[in-house]
Amino acid sequence: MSKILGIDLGTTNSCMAVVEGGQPKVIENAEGNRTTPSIVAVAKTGERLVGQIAKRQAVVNPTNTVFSVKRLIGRRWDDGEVQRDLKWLPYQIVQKDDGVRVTMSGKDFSPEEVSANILQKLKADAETKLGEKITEAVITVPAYFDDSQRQATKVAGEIAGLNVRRIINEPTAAALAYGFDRKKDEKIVVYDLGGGTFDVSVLEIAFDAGTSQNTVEVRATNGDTHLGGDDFDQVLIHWIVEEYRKLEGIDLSKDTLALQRVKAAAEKAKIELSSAMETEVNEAFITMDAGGPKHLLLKLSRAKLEELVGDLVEKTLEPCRKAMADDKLEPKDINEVILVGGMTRMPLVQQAVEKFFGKKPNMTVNPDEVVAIGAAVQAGNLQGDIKGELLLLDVTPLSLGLETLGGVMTKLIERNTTIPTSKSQIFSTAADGQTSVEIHVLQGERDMSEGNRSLGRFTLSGIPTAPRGVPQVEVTFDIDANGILSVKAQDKATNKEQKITITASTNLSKDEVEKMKKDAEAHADDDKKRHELIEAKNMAESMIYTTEKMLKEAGDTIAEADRKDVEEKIEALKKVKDGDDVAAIKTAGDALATAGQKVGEAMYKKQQNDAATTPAPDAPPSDGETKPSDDEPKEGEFESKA
Amino acid sequence: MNDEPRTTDDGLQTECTRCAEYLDGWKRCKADYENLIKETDRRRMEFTKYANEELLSLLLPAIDQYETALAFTPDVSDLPDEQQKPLKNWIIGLHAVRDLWEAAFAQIGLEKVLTVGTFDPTVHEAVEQETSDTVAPGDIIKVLQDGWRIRDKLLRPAKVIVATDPS
Repeated sequence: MSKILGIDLGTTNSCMAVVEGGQPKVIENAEGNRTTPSIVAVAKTGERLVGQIAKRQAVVNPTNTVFSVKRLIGRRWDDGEVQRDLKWLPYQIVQKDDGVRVTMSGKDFSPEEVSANILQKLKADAETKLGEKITEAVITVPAYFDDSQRQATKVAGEIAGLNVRRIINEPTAAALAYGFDRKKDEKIVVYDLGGGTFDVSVLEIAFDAGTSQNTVEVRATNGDTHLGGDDFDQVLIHWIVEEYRKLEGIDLSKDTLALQRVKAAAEKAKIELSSAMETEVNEAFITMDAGGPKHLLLKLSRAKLEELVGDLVEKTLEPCRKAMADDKLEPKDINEVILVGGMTRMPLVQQAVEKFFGKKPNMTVNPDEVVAIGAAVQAGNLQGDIKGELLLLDVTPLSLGLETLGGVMTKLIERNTTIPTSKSQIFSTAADGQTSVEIHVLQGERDMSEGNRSLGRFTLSGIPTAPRGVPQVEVTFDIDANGILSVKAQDKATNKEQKITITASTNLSKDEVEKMKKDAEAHADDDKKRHELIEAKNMAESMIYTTEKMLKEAGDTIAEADRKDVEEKIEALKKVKDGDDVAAIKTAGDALATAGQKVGEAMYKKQQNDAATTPAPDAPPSDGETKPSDDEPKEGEFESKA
Repeated sequence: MNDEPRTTDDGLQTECTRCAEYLDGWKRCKADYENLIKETDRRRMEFTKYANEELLSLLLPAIDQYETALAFTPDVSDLPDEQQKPLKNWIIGLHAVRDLWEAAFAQIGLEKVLTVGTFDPTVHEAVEQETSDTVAPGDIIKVLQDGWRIRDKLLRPAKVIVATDPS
């Protein structure tokens, strides 16, 4: 069964998404962009162009380039909106019976056919990206669309080869994207400020006894069909041109190239001031006069920008008041506010909305994509990817691990890992002849065991006697879908195992989890230092052990002076390894490593010499020689630990 | 989700349906996971190929203005020799700096979009149209901003003025 595509068919830009792995995901178009301009053109060659390519040639082909066709779809010729748009849209709009047609290259097209071109491109690009055929879609429309407009949008989908499973309202889609459809009896406002239009909707989530599911009802809607990000850009462009005129006496609006640069710079500055308090409009060599080249270098603060566009932001609040009044609501009655549209990234807009509704608006989902995401969620619901009851997977809130040498916590499962999950790691013994290991199960984010929560302990005994580091004990952490943690330790040599089951690993309250995370952050530096010290000590212990063992095995193969040097370095490391000076331990360790290399060298040399002078295996040993035992290590054989 | 099994005979069909549903869900998840691995691998390869895209996009405005600055190189030929020489030398240096990044761009596969001849919306963006006595309608008169392509991907279209039919 192929995926159902969720499509936000916007006035200026369109966006598409699908559910993959239970999560809605925006799909990029063929050009690698996450949104596609809602523009269709017929080129002079007769070729049909859609999206970014159509936009790029709009200036040279204005009468055959159709944009904002959403303003016309499903409307009658005598509709007030049509008659208003007729006056400013550069392409030809004609009457056909009581409906509307647009003319491109001498041929008339219905708005449905033009929208179908956009949907066809989205469908084709989605098929390429997903590697499967797409035959069904959920398409969003404004909440104020009437039956005729909704039906026309559905027809557009059918022309594009899509079975439109559902037409849903854009604000409803935004609510679905946030999962607010699960919030029974709540009132939600969706504030949508896009490139060219502003819409505000009041939604109510109600429980439908008939279907035993929550339904999302649009209670009121209002807006301004000619207010959007483009208006904000125009205000800024105008300011830049005027400031430059005051400074240099030159009107940049008369210079095509300069004006292009000013437009791009204005949009860039607007975006930058959403995160910075000040920016610079930097366009060197913007024009020239008798005195030579001229530069546009203007500092613009966020405060200044807000002063310039304040009226536009204020203009959005009146429709908010009207929508609330229509549903007889006051701001205090609203439970959640959702921001949609790129312009809502502006801090002034966010502040104005927060002030008006008295609560922080939701904006964690990309405001350019939230409607498409919601359409995909609806598509997923229809497909069964996201069940009505929702198959939710938990995550483990804090990391899980065990205590290792030096009191360090070694993590096996990182926090926020989706469960059920299982993770194994091989550990070994810390001392020669160690025949049991204690597994101390811990939960938390601190590097040191004592800073974390102890979940339980158990011991695995019966490990065969062996030098330290030789035994292999596999420890497995397994969390099932109910959050029950099982920890098993198995000796790989004997297959002996022990385990423990912990039921409370995911039972921490939100506050407790946050406290533990904050503790870890607060102690991060200290823990890091301690961890480094422990690691240095462990390394030192290991080096001393290995080097002493090597000296013993080397016997008299190494020169006395070298032996003495190594022994001195061992003593020096022993002196500092129990202290707190990491640098001193590392320095002494490096010195021992360098000295110890001579031991290794001498051993290899001896082996090579022995190989050269040793007679053939069947030949009788000559006087003074002993025949090598079959038990001794042979050159080229080695054991490696998995 | 209620996982408690029913025990009546009537419930057998329900359990079978549930099992089928769970199996389908499991298969779907496995498939999604495998697709995610493939998609992650594909994106990693794409990222490697186009890793510099965003960085380059940030640098391009500076490159544009540098080129504009070079285009505004003043004419120093009227100046006395002792003033001309250091200025000419300085200008040579500025060109040498440009040569450095052009060599770097060639190495990473970044190249300018061709802006001669017919307007092509796949690589050009028309910002204006003008009549022209010398350039055929539909051809590019002037380049306002260079376009760039990295390997086979368009990084930024060239902004151009296109000749229009005088009629």
